[in-house]
Formats: sequence, C-alpha cells, structure tokens
Amino acid sequence: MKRLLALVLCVGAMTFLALVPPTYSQSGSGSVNLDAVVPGCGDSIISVGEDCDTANLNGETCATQGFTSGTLSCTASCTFNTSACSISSGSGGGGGGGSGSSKAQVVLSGRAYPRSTVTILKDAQVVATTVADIDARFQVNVTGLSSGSYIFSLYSEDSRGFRSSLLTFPVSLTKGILAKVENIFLAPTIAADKSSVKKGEPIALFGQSTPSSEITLEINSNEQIFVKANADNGGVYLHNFDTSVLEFGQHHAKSRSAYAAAISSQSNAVPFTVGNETVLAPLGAACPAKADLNDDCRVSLVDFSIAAFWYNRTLNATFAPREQKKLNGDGKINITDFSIMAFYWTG
Amino acid sequence: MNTKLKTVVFSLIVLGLSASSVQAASISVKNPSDFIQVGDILTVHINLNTEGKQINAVEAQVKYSTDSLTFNKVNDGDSIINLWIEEPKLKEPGTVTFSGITPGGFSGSDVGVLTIQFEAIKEGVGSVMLENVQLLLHDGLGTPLQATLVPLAINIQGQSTAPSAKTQYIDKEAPEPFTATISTDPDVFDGRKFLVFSTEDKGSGIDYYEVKEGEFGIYEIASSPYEIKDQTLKSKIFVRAVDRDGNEYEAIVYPQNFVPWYETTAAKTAIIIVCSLILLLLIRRSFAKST
Repeated sequence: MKRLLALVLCVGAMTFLALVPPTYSQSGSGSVNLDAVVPGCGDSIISVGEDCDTANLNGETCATQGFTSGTLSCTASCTFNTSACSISSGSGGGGGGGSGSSKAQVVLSGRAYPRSTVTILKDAQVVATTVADIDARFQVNVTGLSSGSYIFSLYSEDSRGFRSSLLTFPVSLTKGILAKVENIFLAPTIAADKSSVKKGEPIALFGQSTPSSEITLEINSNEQIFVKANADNGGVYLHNFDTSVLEFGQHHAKSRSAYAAAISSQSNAVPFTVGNETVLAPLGAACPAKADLNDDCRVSLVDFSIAAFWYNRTLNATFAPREQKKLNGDGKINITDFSIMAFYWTG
Repeated sequence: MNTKLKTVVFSLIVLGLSASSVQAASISVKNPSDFIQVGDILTVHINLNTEGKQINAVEAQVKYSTDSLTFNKVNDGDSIINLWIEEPKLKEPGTVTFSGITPGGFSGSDVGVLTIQFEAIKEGVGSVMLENVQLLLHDGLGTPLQATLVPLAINIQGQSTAPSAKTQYIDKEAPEPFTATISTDPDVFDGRKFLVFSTEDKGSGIDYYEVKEGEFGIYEIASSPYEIKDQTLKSKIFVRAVDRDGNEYEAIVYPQNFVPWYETTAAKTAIIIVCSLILLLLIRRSFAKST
C-alpha cells in the first residue's frame, strides 16, 4: 500500500511538472525568456494591492463604502471608483455619523474641474483617485483607517494635463465613525502662453476651474495687480493681460476661483519675465519644476528614497548635477532639499 | 498624583517666526502645578506653534538630563510628520534626534510632532530642551524659520510609593496597509534595483521594517531604499512593518519576473531526482522479490 502511494505521488508530481503551463520559452541559443506569470490589474482577479479588478468588485458596493446609494465601479488602476455613489442625507463639512464599521472612514467631496481626475493622498501617499462629473463635482470614500490624525491632500489635473496646487488639511478620525469633509474647492490650474514677454505685449493667462466660476488673477509686481476672468461652461478661463503696467524683471501670476459663495485655495504660481523680447512657453503641461529626481513627472516616495540614499553622504559626480538642477544646489542632501521635495510633492 | 502609572504631561512649544520678523520661540510647561516623584513616568509632548506660517520640515535634537531622567520610549504615532528622514530615536543617552517632512505643509498653534516618555530616577531638577532646531517654510525653497528655545525644568521630589508600572497604553492595531515599489536609479546602489516603502502606525508608531526575499528567505531589518538581492526579480519579496508595540503588517511584492518556488529549475530538478530515486528503489525491490 505504501509503495502504491509513493508511486502515485511520484507519478503525480512528475505529471504536474509535465503539465504545468509553460512559463518559459526558448529564444535563441542559450537564452531563456520568461512569459508574464504575475496576475495584474485588468485580469478580473483581485490580487494583492487591488481593491477590485474590472467588474469584480469583491462583493463591495456603494453601501459598504459608506454611501447610501449609487453604483460602485472599478478604475483602470484597480481601485474603487465611488464617483457614482452618493449620500442622500446632507451634513456640515467635517461632520460624521456611525458607520457600523470597526475601522474609521472619511468621505471627501467638493469641486474640481469637469471630468478631471482627482488624486487623494493620505499622509503623503496616494490612497485613491476619482473622476469629477460634468459639473466638476467629486466624491470619494476612504475606508479601513485607524483612529488618529491624518493629513489628506488633494489635487486634480485639468483637460490639458496641468495639475492644481496641493490642497492639504488635517482630519481626525475615530473608529466606527464616518467623517465627512465637504465643500472642498480645488484651486484652478494656471499656465501662461509665454515664458518671457516684451513689455507692452499681452500675455495669456489661462487654466481650468469649476464651470461658470469667477476667476481672480493675481499678478505679482511692485504692487499686486488683481484682474477678473470668467470660466466658461467647461470651466476654462483665459485672460490676456497687458504687460505695459509691469516693470521689467521676473513676475508670477496666481489665481483663485469663486463659485456660489465658496472660494477655492490658491493656484500654483506661473512665472514669466517682462523684457525686450517675447519667448513662447513650451506647449503642454510642465513636470514639477523641482524635486522630480527620476524624471517621471511626479514627486513621490521614489524621489524621497533617492534623496534619502544620498542623505549625509558625499555626492558622486553624476548625482551632484542632479542635485544642482532639481534641489537647492548646495552640493549636499539635507533637510532643505527634503523641504523643497515636500513643496512639489504629487504622491 | 498617587500612582506611578499617572503620566505628567509637559509640552515643549516651539514658536517659529520667519527670519525677516522678530526672532522668538519658547518652550513652556503645560501643566506646571503637577510635581514629579522618583519612579514616575513623564510624557513630554513636542508640539509646534507655527504662528500662522505654513511649514513642511522639522528637525531637532531633544536633550535631557541623564542624571535625573531615563529614556523610556518615543511615540510618533499621531505625528504631523508624514515622512521621516531620520526616525525619532535615542541617538545616545541624553539625546533623541528626529528629522522629517510633511508634503503639502501644515500650520497650527499646537501641532503634535512626537512624544517622549521618560522615567524620573533621581530627586532634583531635571531638564528637557531642544537644540539644533530647524523649521522650514513650505515655500519651495526650504527657507528656514528661526527659533529661540527655552529649556524645560522639572522638579522631582520624593519617592513614589505606588506600584511600579512602566506602560500605560498598549497599541493593539497593526500598522497601516502599504505597498512597496521596485525602482531603479543610476545613482542609487550603482544602478541596481531597489525597493521603496513607507507606512505609519497611528497607535505607537513604526519601530522598524524587515524584508525577506523568497518564500524560504530570512527576515532582515531593512530601511527604504532597500537594495534587492535577487536582481533577476524572480523572488517574491515580503516587507514587514512592525510598530513599537510589536504589531505587524506584511506587504508582498510580486516582481515582474516572479516565479513560484515550485516552478524554479532547482525545485523541478530536485523533485524529478527524488521521484526518480524512489521509482528506481521501488522497481529494484519489485525486481528483487520476483527473483
């Protein structure tokens, strides 16, 4: 009996080895290529790090995510998309109620830009993304949190790929309580058509915000200059600013948006020079001006880790120019460089 | 105050003002009416008052008198700091160091950075003070704020008669879930692939990370960035975050060339050899019996 069992096991094992789907394919002499064997996003299988995968929502619904109605779906990056979920009962910003969960959760809602992607960071790391509706409204639920204080940060990308400034606020959470942060109003995006403008010529300042909102542009000069513009139905605004009132030299412009008595946070600053010649600005969205050490147009934990590797070390000949260009250029990595990184952070 | 369990709370308030304005800062005692006895546990809170400024980076050394106080533990679980450049730790007796940033910045009049727990060991006047403080503005330049610091004096009188107890609160929650990412950079580990990871623990704070490569590997203490040993990226990588009360969360990374152990050439070869030997043995015995 034991011999029979051993025989069966051996034959079984060898059959298994023979029948296992081929994961290697021969390519040329002596080289072996490995076919993909790692389950990933888009295969309808929920793997480690995925909330969901295509139509597979792992049994979750809007209700389990802290909403009262709507349809939960899955994003292309295999995180829950709660943009079609809603909460019927209104409440003040920062309020909360019992959620029946053993974990804390928070619902963040507000306005960005029509159909824009809103990225939510929890304590500096991306925890969710959602897409705003045609009216620029968004709502996202972050679940499974511990009791304690969190720093949430949000930003959005407009239709041209320009990012808003990071809006950061602390939230204190308690187990079993659904916290709500409402009326978040993300700053408009802002860009200029020229990096340098001949004095007296106009410079176009443009961006995107909530549809039909009023935009206040602030131009830095000897005296601050404020001008108004209106966002159209798509949230796009444009103002041709006459530079004859500006002195020669470096300037920058920022913007805020106002809609239904709410005022957004302030945008990033777009720099430009007033001089004797006009130079057009590069087309398309710009990557972070600083701190993006690996040139992926993001400032994240990877950049932090690269800088951390060189923290308190003597920089080598190839990293020193990168520090010069992307950080404060003092030839060393210290807390000042990390502060610059924190300013340009995208998660 | 009649028990060693009772914690006396001090607050070290750092007032930061920009260099262009009046330079001032203070360290003050939040609860000066309490007195400390030998054997009592003191929890010193390091809090920030940014005076309306938006800051994003904090660095300091906490100096304490070792003749009257002994370091017990540090807790950064509920800290405003999101990413530590240098984790808060006892660098040497009498000195606790920390350095970290908060992407997006923060402001406030009483913002918690961390707490340090001491035990009073001798009667007299103990002191806790901050040195080499750096507070940097959230302005994209890392502009420093200047701070003047006032030391905290602690009067320790008499011997506590209460039963000895070292801890008040035990964190039972695991660190926050996280993922680790494989990356590469020509100037880091000579271009070899490395792993980056970070998480938090709201209860007691992260104590350390461990990394294991492969199912049968051994966990080793590690920090981010971690140089991956298996540069072929075939081995599953386990990253374990452990908080200061011993709770764990394990993140698993499946590298792009991941191969399950039973599909490796070595495992397949071993199985075939073992099975062949068993088969040979069985055939030989059967043959021996028949003859």
